[in-house]
Amino acid sequence: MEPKFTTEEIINSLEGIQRAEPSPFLHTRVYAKFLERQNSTELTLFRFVTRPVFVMAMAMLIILMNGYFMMNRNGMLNTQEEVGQSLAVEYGQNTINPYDLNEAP
Amino acid sequence: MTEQELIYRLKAGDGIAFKHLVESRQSLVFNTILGFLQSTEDAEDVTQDVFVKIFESIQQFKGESALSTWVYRVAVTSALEFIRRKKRKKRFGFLSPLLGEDNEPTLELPDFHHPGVTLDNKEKSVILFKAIKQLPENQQIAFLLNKVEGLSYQEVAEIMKTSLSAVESLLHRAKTNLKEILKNLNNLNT
Repeated sequence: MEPKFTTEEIINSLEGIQRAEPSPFLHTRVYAKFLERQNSTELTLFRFVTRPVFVMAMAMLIILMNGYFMMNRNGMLNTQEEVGQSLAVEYGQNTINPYDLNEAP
Repeated sequence: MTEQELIYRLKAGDGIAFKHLVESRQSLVFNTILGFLQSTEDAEDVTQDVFVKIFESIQQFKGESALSTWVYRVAVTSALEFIRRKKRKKRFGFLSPLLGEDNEPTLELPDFHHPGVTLDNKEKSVILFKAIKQLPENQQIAFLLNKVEGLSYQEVAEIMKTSLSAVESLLHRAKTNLKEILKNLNNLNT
């Protein structure tokens, strides 16, 4: 079956198009929207921080930070132990001498 | 009121100047957005947003282009943003309760009948607007500004911040793509 219109006819269908008009009193509605937006800035912030996704992201962040500090704390303890050992080596206090143990005071 | 005076008064926060801006540019903004959104209700909503945005960001307008060019830019950007937001909402609709967004269903719009099209072209323009929606963004902008808004290539180039030859090429590609899309649409309808 032949198409109803040719592609050229369709493409040229906007020739002589008139402008559409928005409904009247646009200015009043724009002004009302402007005021509404100004008043709702604080409300938007509240809505944002109470979003489930935001709350979940914050909880995850706290858990991750907690984990990071826990791991770091162990690392710091290990480092302190290592420093203690190296000092012991330096002053010859790291080896247990059987003669020292048997020696009478 | 001259354009310079209007800009000066807008920057000073003059309500009368703002009213003048809305009244003198509402048709321009509404028609541009209508071409992209193809829905009178959505176009009215976005038109209001555009004027609020203009009022809020008028201080950033440096006067490097004409005020109308800048208004066109804000209108086109807002229309495209609205379309992207709608598509995103449709794609990730299942996530909206988690994101705390309203659960309004995104309905597929019926055929768009532009109120300014002549009676004998109504049926053809419905098919054309359906095809325009399938064009890449840049081609859509160039085509709608040139064919619906009736702007010259030079004006389109200024709005799109591109060269004249780029606009010519965009329009050429838009027409080629439209022919291809229309051929497929025609095949589906027969």
